[in-house]
This record gives sequence, C-alpha cells and structure tokens, in this order.
Amino acid sequence: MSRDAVAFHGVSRVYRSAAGSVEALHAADAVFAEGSIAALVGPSGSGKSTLLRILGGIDAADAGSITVAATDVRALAGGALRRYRRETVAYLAQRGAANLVPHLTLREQLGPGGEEIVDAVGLGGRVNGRADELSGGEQARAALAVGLSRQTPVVLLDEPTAELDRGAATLVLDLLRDAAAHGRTVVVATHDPELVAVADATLELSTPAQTAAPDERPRVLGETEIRIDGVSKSYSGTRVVDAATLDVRSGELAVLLGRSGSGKSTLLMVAGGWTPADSGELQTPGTAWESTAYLAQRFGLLPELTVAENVALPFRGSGRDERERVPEMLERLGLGGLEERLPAETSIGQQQRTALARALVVQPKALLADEPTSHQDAGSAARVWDALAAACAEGTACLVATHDEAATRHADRTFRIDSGRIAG
Amino acid sequence: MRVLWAKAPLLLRRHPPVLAAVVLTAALAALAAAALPLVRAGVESESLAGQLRSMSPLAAGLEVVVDANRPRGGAARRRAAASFARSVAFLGPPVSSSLGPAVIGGTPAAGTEVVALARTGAVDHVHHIASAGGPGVWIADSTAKVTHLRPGGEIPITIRDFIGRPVVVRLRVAGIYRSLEADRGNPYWANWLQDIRNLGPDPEPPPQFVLMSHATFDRIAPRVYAFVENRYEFPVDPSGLSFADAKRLDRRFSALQASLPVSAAGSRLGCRKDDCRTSSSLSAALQVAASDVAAIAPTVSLLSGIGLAIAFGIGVATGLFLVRRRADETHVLFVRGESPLVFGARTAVEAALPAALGLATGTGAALLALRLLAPAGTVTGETSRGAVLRAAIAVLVAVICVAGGAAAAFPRRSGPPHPRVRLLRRAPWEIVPLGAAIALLLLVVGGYGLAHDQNGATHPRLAVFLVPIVAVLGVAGLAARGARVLIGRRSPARPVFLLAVRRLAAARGLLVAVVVAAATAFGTFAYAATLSSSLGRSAAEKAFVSNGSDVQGIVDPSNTITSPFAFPVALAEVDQSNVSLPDGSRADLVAGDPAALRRALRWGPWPDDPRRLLPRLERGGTPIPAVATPGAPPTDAIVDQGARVPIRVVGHAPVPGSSAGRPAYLVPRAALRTAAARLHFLEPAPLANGLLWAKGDPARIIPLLTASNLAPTYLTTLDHIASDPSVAAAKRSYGYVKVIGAAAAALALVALLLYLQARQRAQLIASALVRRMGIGAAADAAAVALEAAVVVAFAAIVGAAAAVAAARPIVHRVDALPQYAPAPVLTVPWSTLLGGGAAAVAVAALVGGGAVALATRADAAEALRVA
Repeated sequence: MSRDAVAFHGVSRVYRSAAGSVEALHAADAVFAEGSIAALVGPSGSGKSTLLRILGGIDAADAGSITVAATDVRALAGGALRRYRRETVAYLAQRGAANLVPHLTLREQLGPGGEEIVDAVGLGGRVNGRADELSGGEQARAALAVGLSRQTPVVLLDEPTAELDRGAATLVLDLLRDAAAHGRTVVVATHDPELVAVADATLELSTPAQTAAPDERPRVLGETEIRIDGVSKSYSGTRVVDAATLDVRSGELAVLLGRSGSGKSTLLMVAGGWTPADSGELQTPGTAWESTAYLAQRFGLLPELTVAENVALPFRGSGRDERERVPEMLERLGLGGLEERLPAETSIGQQQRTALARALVVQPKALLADEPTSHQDAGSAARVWDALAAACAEGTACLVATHDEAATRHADRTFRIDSGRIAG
Repeated sequence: MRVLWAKAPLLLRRHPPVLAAVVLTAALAALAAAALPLVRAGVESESLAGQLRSMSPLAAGLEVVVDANRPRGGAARRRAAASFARSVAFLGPPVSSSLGPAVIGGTPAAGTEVVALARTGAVDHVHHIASAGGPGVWIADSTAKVTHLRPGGEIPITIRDFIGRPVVVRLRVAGIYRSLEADRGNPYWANWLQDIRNLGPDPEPPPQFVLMSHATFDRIAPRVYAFVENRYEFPVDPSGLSFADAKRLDRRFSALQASLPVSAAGSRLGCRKDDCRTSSSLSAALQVAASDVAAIAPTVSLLSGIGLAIAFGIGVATGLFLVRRRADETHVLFVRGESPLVFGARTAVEAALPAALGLATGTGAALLALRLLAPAGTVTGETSRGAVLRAAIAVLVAVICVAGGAAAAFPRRSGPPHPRVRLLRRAPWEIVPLGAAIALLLLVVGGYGLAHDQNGATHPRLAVFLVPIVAVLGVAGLAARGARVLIGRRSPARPVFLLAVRRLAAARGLLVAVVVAAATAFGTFAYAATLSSSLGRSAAEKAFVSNGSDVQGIVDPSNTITSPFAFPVALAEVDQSNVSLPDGSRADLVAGDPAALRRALRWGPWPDDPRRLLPRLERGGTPIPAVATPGAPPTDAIVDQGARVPIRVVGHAPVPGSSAGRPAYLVPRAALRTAAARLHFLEPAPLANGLLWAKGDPARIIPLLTASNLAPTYLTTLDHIASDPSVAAAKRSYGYVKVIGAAAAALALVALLLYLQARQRAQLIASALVRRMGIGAAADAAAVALEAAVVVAFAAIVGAAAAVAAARPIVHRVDALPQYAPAPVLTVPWSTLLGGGAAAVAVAALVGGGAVALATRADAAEALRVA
C-alpha cells in the first residue's frame, strides 16, 4: 500500500505589498500518495505556483500544516531546511533558465543517470552545451532533466510544458510517468489538459469567479491587412523561415500553428517589422502601435507602471483620449481589481493578459500575438480568445502564433508551419 | 556541486562589472593599507637623508677621539679603524686624524701656534690657493701671510719633545689653502668646528692647521711627541639607509660609547678607559626626521582609514551586486539547498584572483604615491614586506566583505517572519547609521575630534569625517522613503514626466543604494568643503584679531605717534592683567583711538566687521562706549585695578588684540584716560602691553616702523597665522577629503550610469514596444535624463544639507588654533556647493541620456527572438 508522500491542510499565504494584501492561497488541503502524479490546476493567480514554492521550502505558509516525505516542512529552519531542499524535493520554476546554473554545461549539472534522461528529452546532442547557450525550449527540457536526475523522492514542477510543443510535451509526460513508476512523487502545477489527464490526483485551486459575456458579434472580413508573400529569413546560415506565404484580412482571426522552433515567432517578427526578411514581400498596415500592435512572448510591460497605466500607455503616446476603453478591456480580460497593482504584483498569466490588453486597447488594424495563451489556464485562455474575437469583430486582423492545437477551434483560418515552411 | 568550486577561481571573467568591482575594491584596500607604512617610511628616510646631507655624513656618523695615543703604531690603528668600519653596517670608510701642537719658529711669525695635522684626504677637502706640487705640507693662507712663506719654501716648526726640549723640524711647503674659518660650510670639516673657529667673540682664534700626510706625521711624531691625539670619524653611508636602519645604527653608537673603551676593537684603536670619547649627531637627525613624519602621519592615517572604510563598503556593495547580477544562478543554488555561507565562501574563492590583481595594483599605486610624496625616500625590504602584509590583510578583509555581502544577499525562504524578526524588519535600517552618527558626534563634541602630534600641531581625527558619512547614509535613506511617499502614484499626463515620476516612485534596492551612495559622496564633499571654508575664515579672522592689521608690533603703551606715517598706523593698549567683570571673571580691555583704528585695522568680507562699530566709540562720554566680543556677558561696568568703570556696550564684534576664551571690550582710549583720572587708577595700567597696528605692504612698512620713534619689537604679519602648521595640516586633510568626496561622487555617477544602462537593457523589449506607441527615443531618453537629474539633485540636496547640519556642532570642536580668538564660525561655501551640485545634476542628465543611448545599441529584435 502506498504511503502519503505529500500532505497539507489549511495552507494559506498572504502577500503584502504597497498595493495592499493579496491572498495568494487560501486554506488548501490535499494528500498525494507516494509514486503518484498530482496536478495542481486552476486559473492563473489561484496560487498554484505559491503552493509549489511552499512545498519546496522556498516560501513559507502563513497557516496550515505541511508534511512532505514524513517531514514537517513548516518546522524546518536553517540547515535542516537546506537539507530538505537538497535531498527531499526538486523544485523547477516556470522559466527554464531559472533552474540551471548558466555557466555550467548540461552534463556538469546532471545527477547520476542524468544522461539517459537527457537523451529521453531529446537533448543528447547538447549535453556539453552551456546552459545559457541553449534556446528557451531546450532550457525547459534541460531543467527537467537536471531536476529529475537529482533522484529526490518528491519532484515539484511549475508549468513544465507551457513553452513546449506537443511532441516535446509528450516526452515530458513519459518522463514524469516513469519517475512516478519508480516511486517518486510528482506534483505539477499546470494548465495543460494532457498533463492533467495523466495525473493520479488533481487539486483544483480557485479564485473568486470573474466572468464576462463572450463576444458573439459576427465578424465581417474586409480588406487584406497582412500579406506575407514568399518571405524567407535565416539566422547564422540556418533558414528559419522558408518562402512563407499567408494573408490575414481585416476582421479575421488567423492562427499560425507550429511546434517550438518551427519559425512561427520569427515570421511574426518579420511581419511586425522587428527584423527584415531576407527575401519575399510583406504588406502590413505599418509599424505604429495603432496600425500593428504586437504581443511578445516576453510581454514588455513597464515594471514601474501599474496594470492600468501600462494598458493606457498607447493613448499617451498617440495623444488619443479614449481611456474609457481601459477598464472595459481590463474587465474583458479578467483583470478587474488589478488596475493599481504593479506587474510584479500579479501572476505571470495576468501579466500576459495585461500585455494583450495593451495591444488591443487602441483597436489596431492588425495584431500579431505570439503564444498569447502560453501562461493561461483554460478559463483565462477562453477570455483571451474572446478578447481576440472581439477585436476581430471591431475590424482588427489578428495573426496568432501558437503551438496549441486547441487554438484552431477559435480560428477563421489556420496556417501550419514546420521548419519555416507554411504547409497549408 | 564540486564543479562549481573547480570553476570558481576564473568564474568572474564571465561577469566583467563584478570582476572590475572586486579588482577596484582590492586595489583601494591595498592602497589604503600599504600607503601608511610606505609613505611613513619614505618620508622618514627622505627627511633623514636631507638631514644627513645638511649636517654631513661625518657629523651624523661616529667619531672616536683618543686623547693620548703613543705616536708609534699609527698605521696599525688606521687599519684597525678601517676594519671596524667594515664591521658596522652603514658606516663608510673612516677618516683618521693624528694631531699635535706645534709652534712656528725662525720666521717673522716665530712663536705662532699651529697644529700639525694628518687627516685622511684633508688636502683634497680644502680650497687651494697656491701649490708648488710635490710632497710637503699645506699651510693656511693666514699662516702664509704672517710667515711670508710661499709654496716651495720651508716652514720651521718647533715642537717641544716629551722632556720639554725644543726640536725644530723643517718641512717643505707644498701649497697654501684657504683658511677653514673662511670655508665654514665645508661638510668634510663638520666635526672640527670647535678647532676651526671660536665659539665666543673674545678669545684668540684657534691655531691653524699645518696639513701633512700620515707618513710625514708618523715620521716626525715619534721624535717629538710622547702622546698624540687620534680621531677616527666613521661617516654614515646614506645609500639605502632607512629610518629604521638609522635608528638601529644610533642605538649601536650609544652602545659603543660604553663598550668601545673596554673592547678589543677599541683597544686596537688605542682606546683606554679614560681617554676615549665617542660622539654622533645621528640622534639629532633622527629627531628632526621623526618630527617631519609626525606632521604628515595623522593625515596619511586619516586617509588610510577613510580609504579602507570606503573599500570595505564597496566590497559589501560588490557582493550585493554580484548576487543581483547572477539572480538565476543564486536562485538555482538556493532551491538546491546551498547555504548562504557556502555561497559566500565560494564567492571568496571567485574573488581571490581578481583580488590578488587588485593587491598588486594597489600596492603599486602605494609605491607611486610614495614616489610622489617622498621622491627620495628609501623603503627597505622590511618596510615593503610590512606594507605588503598590511595590504594583503586589508585585501583579505575586503574579500570577506565581498563574500559577506554576497552571503547576505543570497536568497532566503520568503514568508512571514518570526514576530520578533518582523518587528526588527519593520524598523528602518537608517536607525543604525543615525545612531552611529550620534555616537560619533558625542565623541567629537566631547573633545575626541582633534589629535595633537609631537610638534604640537593639531589634526582632525577619522571620527570627524565619519560623522557626516554615517549621518548622510541615514538621512538619505529616510529622505528617499519620504520622497517615494510624496511622489506616490502621481500620474502626470505627458509620457516623459509619467515615466520619470513613476520610476522615481518605484525606486527600490539598487537605485536607492545609488542615491544613498551619491548623497554620501556629496555629503562628504560638502562637509569637507564646509569645514575647509570655516577653517579659512576662522584662520583669517584669527589672523586679523591676533595681528590687527598687516603688521603688528609691540610698543611701549605710553608711546605716541610723533610724526605721521605715509600709511595708516594705530596704537592700542591691551590690558590682560588688571580687568575683570563685576562678578569677578577675567576680561581683556583694549583701548585705542577709534578713528585711527578704523583706518589701520584689517578685516575680511564678513558681517562681523568690528570697524563698522568704531564710529559709535568716537563719541566717548560716560559710561564709556565699548565694543564687546561675541558672547561676552552683558554688563554695564568693568573693574579696572579695583575701580568700577561704567561702560555701555554699543555692539558685538571680534576685538583685535583680545585673547581666546575670555570676553574683551574695546573702548576709546581718551575716554579711558578720563575715567582713570576721575577714578584714580593707572593709565597705562601696570603690565599692560602696547600694540602697534599698521596697514600696508609688510616688506615696505616694517623698515619704516623699525626706524621710527615707536621702536616696535616682535613685528609679525598675518602670515604667522596663515602659515601655522596646524592650519596647514587641517587644510591638507580637508583638501584630501574633498578630493575623496568628489571622486566618490564621480563613482556614484558611474554607478548610476551602470544601473540605468542595466535597467534599460532589461527593459529592452518594453522600450522597443513603447517606441511603437509613439513615445520616441528622445522622449525615453528625456525621461531617463530627468529621472537621473532628479536623483542626483535629491542626493546632492540631502547630502549637503545633512553634511552642513553635521558640520555645525563640529566646527567649534575642530578649531585648528584654539589659542587664538575668535572661535570658528560655520561658513557654508554656498557658491561651491551650488556650482558643484548644478554640475553634478547636469552630468547626471547626460548620464541618463547616455544610458539610454548605450542600452539601445543592443538589438531589440534579438531580445525578442531569444525570449
């Protein structure tokens, strides 16, 4: 009979900041058996990451009891707490780079048997590469390999598949199943339904419900706003985009679907005028924000401005005075009540939605959005798609790059990209 | 992970700013630590070398005088002397002398006494007047004059032998030298002054030398002398001689004084217990050198202390910066259970090689400083080793500071702290520096602010300079908190102002540290500038009060000016002996002609000019109008020689001629005379001094005053105060601290540039997106320039205000010339501070714009691509 590996009751955490107190976690209870995979699910801002950090001995709870591998975590301090972090749990943060020592090679960071895991995540050829030389997707997989190779009885993972395409995500799922089969307990905070599906237990965390009526206005397709015709782009001799051709019309929601490294972000950057194409023709409404707004994977929010000020910033630059759209946009994206918070005082999913709100608030002629739902739970992702649909209804031509197959449900048209080529 | 330790020694090359900071920290620590012994040794040895040059190596060396040696064996004794010289370090080849009395016979100057002298190299160290060449003796020109002898002639010398019979020895005259009396500065003869000229005016001059070779002397001496006098002079060899070597040599000389007469070496020189004397002037040279060092040592110690404090502070900041720059790495290590102490220890290993580079650089810089301060100084291996050891210890402490800063900044488990810890965390950190500032202030106010060197000069101590540094630290931190609250969430309409204001309101961590560092730097500069300015005014006021005018002289108090001078002159009677206040406390009384004083006195451009009150004295009358010194107790009378004299104080101002720490009253002398006649006391008073004050070029008027009927004595000028060693030492200290403050301010501006550049780079994507929103590069640069200007203006204002406030109670406690009135007055150099502040703000604005320009050189597209 399997024993309880992770048990917590009434765990709460309140963060205090200049903007006030935020209850990040409220009375969470759960018991996860040894050798199981447990999924923490819930909308962004519901406390999944906070709970993982508390279990990992990185953050401390305000209240409640926590037992991990028969250790009372709240009673730990000093050397005992460090030993717990070193020997009992392996915690992996959302961002791959935050789990690796940048100046060491992947091999130097692996524990015993780590090279097999590296092979399993498809990085066998990069094992001698320094961590800071790996791409974002590679870092995410490398971090997982390093974390699992430490052979701790409990593994805590925060959104391990958020930045991976389906193929890479499947490799990760296999590894987690294997770890659980070997008696290790895996606790994963995730929005990924496939990961939730393989979990033995699920803890759903929630925030006060925020609902908005879906935008059901009919979309009227107009003139072509974005035309990409035979565009190619190479980096260091490697062709990343190869004769890509597509077009997006006013009021249309187009999805550019491809796995990590397929060239979709590069094509978006070319379309946005961030980097010139090597060849081919490009037509967009222009590079001004009101012509072509852009949602980057790193959101580019100004950390000193509040959420509302970030969203209203395009109006200050253009001199337009339509700030009444700001609360409306915040509400639509589920950011009501966060207006006065600084970005750092919100979750990563909320920051991503803030960046999207900033892009949509000016009703641009075209929107280029790079992975707009990568940090969103299902509910928040629905809000994102709804906001994009509303923008299209107002005449914006939206081109969304994503690896999420589910995005096709919301798209008027889908362009699949693989190795820089658009398939159809 | 062992690999982290293995890679640690060379890791910092991947973090050039941290590497540079560690090298700088170590270099500064090494420079500060090594400078003290090196500069001290250099100045000591340079001063010693100067003394040896001026008093001559022979005078500074060892002189052994054997009064009565047998005439035979002279050559053996000279060999023994040479052997002895070789056995003592830093002694040069000896100069051996044999001499005996003689009388000239058979010439017009028969009966003239001379001294037969054989001295090593004597003929080479006299001024030749005439020479016939060839062997023979050399006679002085005065001897030649009285004997009418010429080179080539023969001089008959009569020497009485040991039973009193006269023996005549005829010696060929090979040359004539200029009498040594006329060649006084010749260092070769430094030990023979008593044999060359009389110390008093009355006796006959000593007999002249008949210089001959040792061979000649050895040939004639056994025939005529029972005993001869031998002198062995062992010169100090100054090459490579350090102060410590010289001290050891001096001790050796002292020991020889007792041991030589009874030692084998002494015996070989012919020494016996009662007729062997040793002497040396080396100890006098050492004393002068030591006093030279004493004059600079406090300043160098002070600078060394300040340098070390700054280096250790930068070390801690470097540790904090290192963790900030390697946030991902430290987070990974924290999550994996690494201890802050282990991380700190590894940081020390990472810093070791750069610190060694800094040690070499700093020690080299210290040697360079030595060459600047004491270009001819000698530093021995021992001193160098000591300096390197001190530097190494300082660098070790600096590395520990870096490691400590890194360990302190290493991530820790966040979460609700223990209630006691929470209470502690709520307490602002500024309490610590403010508490330290108060403690130091109490120390300084309690009299610890000044050190006195062995020359009697005063020097400000390190505590004096630490007061504003820690005070500004605390005040700047508190002010930054207040400013953030004031700015709050203001949201100006224009993007430039919005960005600047919101960034200022969000200032935390590093930016606050930069603000505090800048404020501290400005504060240090403002503090030293204020003390320097106050010192300048105080020294000038003291000079005017002490000296009255351009020239002051002491005259008979009953003297009067009988014939007018072509320049303003005033006389005053200063009574410091007979006057008190009605309550019995002592007071000074200065009496003079107000109109003459108005013309003759000097004063600076300060509001407390005593001359503006003099017209009020001209009316005279009863009670006698009087100008009282600031702080003098209110009174309506003084008691002079027991008589109560009513006075009426018409104003307060410093009174020339008054002494420090005692009230003084300046009254019209005519009115005082009238009162004296009426109240029956003496005028001039017994023991009163008469002072003469004259305005004009001292070089021109002093001869005229000296020749006048006033016959002034002890004439002084304003320079005797201005050039006082205490004033010079304090000026030098303040000057150095101003330079340190200015350099620290420049470093703070560089830190601001690095911070802003790093922040702009971190916000590269945000900036690129913002450009598309219509907020152009110019507006972005303007916002950052505005932010930087406000930060520096804020730092300058807070730093200067705190420094001036800290200087206020200290100015009186660091009086370089407490023996002179008046007490120092706080003098804030507003134009310097405003000019410096404005320049810094302008540079900061450029720095802000420059940071944006530097940051935008990075490729936003690349940043987007790798995101």
